[in-house]
Amino acid sequence: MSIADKITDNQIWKSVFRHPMPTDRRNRVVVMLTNFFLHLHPVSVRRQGIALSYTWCMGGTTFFLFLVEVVTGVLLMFYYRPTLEHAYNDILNLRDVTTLGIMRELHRWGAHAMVIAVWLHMYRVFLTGSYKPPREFNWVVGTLLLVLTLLLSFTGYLLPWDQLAIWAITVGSNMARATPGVGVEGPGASLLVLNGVPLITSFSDAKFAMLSGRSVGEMTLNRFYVLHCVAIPLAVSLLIMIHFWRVRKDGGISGPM
Amino acid sequence: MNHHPDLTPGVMAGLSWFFLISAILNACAAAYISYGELVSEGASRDGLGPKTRRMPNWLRGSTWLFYGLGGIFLIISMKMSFWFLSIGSMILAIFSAADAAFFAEHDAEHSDRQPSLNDHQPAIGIGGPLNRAIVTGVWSLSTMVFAVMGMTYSLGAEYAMPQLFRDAIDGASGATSFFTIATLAFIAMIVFRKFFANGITAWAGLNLSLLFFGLSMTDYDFRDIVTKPDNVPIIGLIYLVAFFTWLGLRRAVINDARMAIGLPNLEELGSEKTLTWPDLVYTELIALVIGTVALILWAIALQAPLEQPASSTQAPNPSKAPWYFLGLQEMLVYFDPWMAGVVLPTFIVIGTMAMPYIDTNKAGNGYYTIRQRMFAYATFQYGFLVLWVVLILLGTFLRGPNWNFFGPYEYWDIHKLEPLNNVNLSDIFWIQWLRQSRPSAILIRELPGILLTLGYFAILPGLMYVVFFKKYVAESGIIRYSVLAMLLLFMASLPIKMVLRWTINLKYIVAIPEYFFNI
Repeated sequence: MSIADKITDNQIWKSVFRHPMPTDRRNRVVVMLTNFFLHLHPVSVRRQGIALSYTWCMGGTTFFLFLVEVVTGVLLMFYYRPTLEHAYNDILNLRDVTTLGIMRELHRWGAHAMVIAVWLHMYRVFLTGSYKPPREFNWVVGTLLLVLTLLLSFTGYLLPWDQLAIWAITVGSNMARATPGVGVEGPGASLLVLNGVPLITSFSDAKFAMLSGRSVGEMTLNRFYVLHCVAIPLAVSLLIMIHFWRVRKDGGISGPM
Repeated sequence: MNHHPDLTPGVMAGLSWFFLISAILNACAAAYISYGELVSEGASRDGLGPKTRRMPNWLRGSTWLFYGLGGIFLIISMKMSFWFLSIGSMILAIFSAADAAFFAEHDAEHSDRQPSLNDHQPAIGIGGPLNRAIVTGVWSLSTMVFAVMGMTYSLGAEYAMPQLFRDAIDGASGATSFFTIATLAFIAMIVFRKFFANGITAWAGLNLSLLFFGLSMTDYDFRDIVTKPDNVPIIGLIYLVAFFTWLGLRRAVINDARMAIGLPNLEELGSEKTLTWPDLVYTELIALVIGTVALILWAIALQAPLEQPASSTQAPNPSKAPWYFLGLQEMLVYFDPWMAGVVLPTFIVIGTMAMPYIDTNKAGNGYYTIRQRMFAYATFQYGFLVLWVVLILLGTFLRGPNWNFFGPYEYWDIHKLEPLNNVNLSDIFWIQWLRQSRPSAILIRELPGILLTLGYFAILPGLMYVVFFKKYVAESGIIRYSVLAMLLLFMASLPIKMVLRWTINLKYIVAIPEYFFNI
């Protein structure tokens, strides 16, 4: 009995993997049906549907980068404290002192790469006309994922609490001030007056809601931290599940009808 | 005006490696053209190929030897590694070209064989055969140029992009010319797509961009902006978007040509089923490994930026949003925040989501094509490439303090003054045309602009319907057309406002600052 047999020929192994190695046709089918991670895939696919010159591998790359962000992000959360007192120094320590502080580099470059990968994925889906029926709704889900990816990146941009962070968020959030109707400098806001009291002020407008203050401050840091680490990732996870499920239900990877 | 040295030892070392990598790329291209499979993308299934010529064993051996030694010495001595790789590339390029030329000559004497191995036979739709010897010769020459540039930098020669050239580019560049050239280039790409889809054209473009980029890095001010850590991904974005645009264009051109002569398109060629395990699963595993390695190397090579601690009193100049929003920030030049920051982004998102519902063209589902969906293809690509990516590049690399425009080699002078004599439409109408003061009643004062805006959104859809969209409305209905027309008009409003700014210095069409309502 070889060592390989000794490892696989016992009750523990067989309770995890319920069939032999996928070396013949039957087991190659079975492995796709019995493995939780592989069951995302169909048993068989069109050959051109998986050609790199067709798919560019950008949807998969996006998902891979999302997983990288989750793993490195959780590791960073063990270390980083989102308070004015600690935030900047924690990042400084990640750079200079902390073992495996490179997680921050992986997280930041992975985030940039993910934004680019999402764009390229959508670009490919457009160029191949893959948003057309029956995949219209999945394109809508994908657009929402694009928006959430940008918001994830945007909220994460603040967390290092350096000049780059605070002013990028300031520039970005100044737009909210100009939202029609609900921004203090937006058209129409000055018309919303109740008994002579303006409803939309710099303490009650869209920018205030976004920043939890009139300017970027500690409450903004806390708010963006929660959005970045909990709220948006949960929403993204839900939408990714729907997105993948619909890829299967809408006929798999697109191809000529 | 240079405040800092253009060339430092570190820059020269970096440039020598940059040009070496360019040389290696070209040596590989020369060898590929000389010996590799020259017909692709479905051609082998059409009986056109593949045709390969055997690489001589000694050349194969020398390439492995020099590149292998170069790889090993990477750890021991970078200098040695550099020379091994340089010499190996030059040998590979020279003899690939010589071999191709020899066979071309040999073939010219025995021209009875058809088709000839010396004809570079591109895929269907990409144009006629090209002379293998000439193409190999040109890439071989490029290898020499890049290798010599790399070696001279390595030996300590100090040369930079000529100041005259830099001044000419700085002088010619401006927001106007940058955007106009991008738009014209886009139109040229669509019109002459057959030319651009050719691999030879694309490779020549890559070589030119590498040369331009490498020489530009000798300029301190260019380098200062481009090597900001957060800007590095955007350099990657340029090359990735360019490559995938080319790939999509090429596949579409080939498909269009194939379908025109009744052949199945490339996607139909591979419609047989294959098992997910092992084909797809292994591809995913390899992609996973490559992605992980690439990301780790990137993380080791480039440190994430960390500037001074946040200070709400010291605003940096320029203050920029994260790079992916810089296209929107650039729109602030032409629109008020409520338009550039809220309304137009909302329309971008809604319009993107609406696309599958307003694009009722059934053709082009699941394969690359331009001819069958020209309007959708060109509109989307213009929006993505020019109105999104090009504006991001403009906002990132060419906008300096006070959001002034700076040429790529220009020092970001915080005191640079640009005359701003922008006027509102109401000024033009009442003061310049009617030669009277503006009426005090807001609505009357702004009546010309309001009428113009209402007319834009109310009359143009009707005109567009009569001229272009009768068939579309008959097929898809008035509701879809209304949405499409609104989205198109909002999209067009950006270039329109740009042109109005550049030509008549127009600031606002409707200017009611009393209620923050400026268009």
